[in-house]
Amino acid sequence: MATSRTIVFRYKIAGGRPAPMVSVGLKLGDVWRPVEFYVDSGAAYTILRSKVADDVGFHWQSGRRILAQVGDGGLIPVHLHELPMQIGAKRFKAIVGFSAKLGVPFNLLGRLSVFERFKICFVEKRRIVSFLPLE
Amino acid sequence: MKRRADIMDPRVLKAYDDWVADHFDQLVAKHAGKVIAVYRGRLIAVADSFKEVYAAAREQGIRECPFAMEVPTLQELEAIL
Repeated sequence: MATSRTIVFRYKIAGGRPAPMVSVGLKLGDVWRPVEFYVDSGAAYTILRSKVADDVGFHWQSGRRILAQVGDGGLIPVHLHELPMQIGAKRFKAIVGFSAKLGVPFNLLGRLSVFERFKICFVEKRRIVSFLPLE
Repeated sequence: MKRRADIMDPRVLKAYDDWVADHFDQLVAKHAGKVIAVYRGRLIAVADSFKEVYAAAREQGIRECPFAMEVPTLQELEAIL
């Protein structure tokens, strides 16, 4: 059930293809940046393409390195950082990965640190995704 | 010296999200493969990198960090599992 605290995002639609993409605040270095993510309940980690980090001088490769499995079964290196994130008015620390090998043209908003803080509902018929903050 | 806010105005985040929802079809049609920047409801820069669009924002006197994103191609959108 939606409440006044529920954050509702419209799907982004191009060429008739709807995509559950959301604008989220992320603090890289000292600067809060609005960043677009594709909400991916199948992804364990939130992963950003390294391009933005490179361009703003954020040393993403200093984070703990893991290997994450992607759709074709291959492994890609991901460097993890704990960063302030904001969805709607809710701010929290999130584990965020960066990879130069992410094979999709989107940043992915995955489950770790995020899905445990919100009840997330995809409403395909209405083309919205809603985030209800959990206590 | 004014203390830098340690939270984004959620209305600003919402406005960026609404802007992308309203313009995504056009963005993909016109600027696929590029990085775009938006500030206060206006497309302010289109370039090949985040560095370039942030620089363009600064050149326009914008001190806040604008919204910036890589625009996917229609083929990339269609290829998502």
